[in-house]
Amino acid sequence: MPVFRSFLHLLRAAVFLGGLTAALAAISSSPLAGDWHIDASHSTELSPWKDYELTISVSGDTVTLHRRLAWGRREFSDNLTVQAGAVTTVPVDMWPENRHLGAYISAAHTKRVRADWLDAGRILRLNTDLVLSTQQGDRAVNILSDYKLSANGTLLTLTELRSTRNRPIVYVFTRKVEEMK
Amino acid sequence: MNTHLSLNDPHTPRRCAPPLFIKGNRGSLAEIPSMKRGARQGGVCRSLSQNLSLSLNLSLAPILALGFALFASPLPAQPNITQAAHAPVTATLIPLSENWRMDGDVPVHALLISLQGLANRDQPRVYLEYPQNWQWEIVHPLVGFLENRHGMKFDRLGLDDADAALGRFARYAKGVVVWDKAVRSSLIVAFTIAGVEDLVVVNEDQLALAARHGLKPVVDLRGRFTGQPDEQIYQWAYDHYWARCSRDYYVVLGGHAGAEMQPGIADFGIQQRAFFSDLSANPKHPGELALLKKILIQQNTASIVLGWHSYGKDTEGQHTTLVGNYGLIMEGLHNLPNVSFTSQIPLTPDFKFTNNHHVTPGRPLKAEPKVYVCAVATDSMGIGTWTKPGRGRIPYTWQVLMDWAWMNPPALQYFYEDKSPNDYFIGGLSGPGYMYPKAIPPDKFPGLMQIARRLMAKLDLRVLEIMDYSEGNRHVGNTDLPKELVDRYYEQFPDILGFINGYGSARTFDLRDGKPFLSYDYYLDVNRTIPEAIADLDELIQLNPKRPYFLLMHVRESNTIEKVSDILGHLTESVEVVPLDVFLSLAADAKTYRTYHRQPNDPVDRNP
Repeated sequence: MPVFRSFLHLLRAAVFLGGLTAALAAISSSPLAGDWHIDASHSTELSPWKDYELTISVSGDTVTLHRRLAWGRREFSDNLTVQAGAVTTVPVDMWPENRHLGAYISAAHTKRVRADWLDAGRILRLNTDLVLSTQQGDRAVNILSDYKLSANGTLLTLTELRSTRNRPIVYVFTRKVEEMK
Repeated sequence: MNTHLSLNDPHTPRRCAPPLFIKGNRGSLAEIPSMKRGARQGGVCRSLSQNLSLSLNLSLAPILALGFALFASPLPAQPNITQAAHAPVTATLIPLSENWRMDGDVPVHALLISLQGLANRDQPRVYLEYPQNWQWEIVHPLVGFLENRHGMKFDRLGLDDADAALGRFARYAKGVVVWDKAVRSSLIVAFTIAGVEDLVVVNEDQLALAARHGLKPVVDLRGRFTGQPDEQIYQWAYDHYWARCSRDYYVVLGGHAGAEMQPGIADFGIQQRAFFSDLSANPKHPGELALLKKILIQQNTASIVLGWHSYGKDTEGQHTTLVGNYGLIMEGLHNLPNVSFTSQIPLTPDFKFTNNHHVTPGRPLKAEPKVYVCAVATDSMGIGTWTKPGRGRIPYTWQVLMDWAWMNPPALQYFYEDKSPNDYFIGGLSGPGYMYPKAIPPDKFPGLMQIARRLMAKLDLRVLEIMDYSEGNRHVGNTDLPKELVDRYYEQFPDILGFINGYGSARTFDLRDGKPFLSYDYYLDVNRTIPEAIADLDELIQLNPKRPYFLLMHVRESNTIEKVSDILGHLTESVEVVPLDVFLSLAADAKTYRTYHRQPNDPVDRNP
């Protein structure tokens, strides 16, 4: 039945294209996009920092995460721009995640990040490989970071699993717009 | 077997043997700016170097003697302290309230603190009992120590009882200086004037009280500074009083700013006729910074900057860097109380500083393939957890502020006598006081380190802790030392057991001639929960797979030893907790760490 097979192919293609279009539409107007501020009371203790602001921008396949970490007058900010569905090598000035540990970005000053949208654009997953330098030398580390939106879109939960850490890190953010209201 | 080695230094020119009570520097001589320190300080004074004595293991004596011979250049001058041959039989104790607001009890406290500085000028007469929650928590235990070890009796007055205090001690003042309640900085200027002119500090509400005790206004600051910025106010003070102030002490009366002030160090500043200000070291305040530089550059080499930077103007990193640029020594606690009293109390005759050593030099320990952890508490023992439950439970290392050997002898004797077998002392911080070595001009470095060596010998300390926030802090920038500076430390401390570096984590590691130079691998934040701290340490152990692994952790002072013990007891890999001398000896045996010094491209942050 060649006609019927062609119809099935067309149907599958339509479903695929429809789903793809929907996913792309969701992503281009990603509900994760916006300005977020940490809710320290529901997050893993943040030291050495006390404040964490995150801005997510999405344009097509390009996702940019701008973070600002602060402790009083001291602050650190950086930008991470990645391509969804691809691996991007990005420069790293320093590893600010936990400055209380004797672990520093290696001399290469880079990390490799694969970004993927999951669950129709509700979750951004970053799979990061980097090398940290310690008193004993260089050590490869993998970090799985899920930026997950709540059902009502008001909370963003960042869960980080580091290959070297036994305990997950969870940061909960609220939209800064919501805070202003 | 121990021997007692006297370190009288024939090259030290400026001191002479003391009588029963020793007179300190007096204003008349301090007015002559061209005179050198020794002459300007006048009187007959007990010399720090004359007092230096060292308890040594006999087998070490020849080595150390050689080491000291290598550095037998004249001892850089350190300020003199008027010290009694023995503690007084009685003294007056005045409790202070917990209110330190400018519009609260600061006026009466300022009156009492200034009166204390004057009354204690030639003998220790007045001890102020600061409230229970005072940051320097040894105020109350020290009373018991002075009673028990010195046989002192305290005559207690009522809370903030200025009337009774003036009744006893007004005779040590020539009148009052009136500060302006509307201008906070006028009180700081008044402290300068109090010391120079022998005046009690009052505001207009206290004039009648002072008059009842025969004290009349000599200097009135009311209205003088209205609407003026601090650089103008302190310039006026500089123009009128600087020439008569001490070149051995400058007081930065900062710390709490705005509505609160905690001038605990002011009694000592007044006693010593120091210049007071809270001038900013922040380049954002160029006028204040210029005046501050003008003051610091005129102070004697290796003299003391008392107090703390203003929380409202500049940063710790900025101020301590600037002080180091002039080769001065920071003694950083603006609310350190009663130094005009305690600095005059000698050690008891039966006491000498003795540390809990666990290592015999020349006989290194053998490291095993395991994780070794050493916990170090800094930030001054007086504001830490010394008096909290848990001390003695695990090996713990404590950084001693070495200048207290002459500024605050009873406090150090209290700590040394109160130590448990698990408490181990080390010297700090970077030198004889709080200083950043990268900020110190190289030509001033040897003299300062010579002072540090001698204080370490006196205090029986074999390890030096180093901290440098001139290019960063525990958040950004770097806190590491370049190789050239590490070279200088090794050169200056040939007999040392080892060095530790950092405050937060740092990367400077070295090992030379069996003497490790290690940095902190972990900083235990006060707010860090026990589960997260356990995860932190487990992660470090994971990140450093070779054994032995040497995990040096800095414990922020407010963390209790119980908390540290709980954390270390729940790690996934069994660790051995050791005191720092054992830790360093083991690290000398198995160098599993890479040599690393500050690199030219390391990030720099000037602590804006």
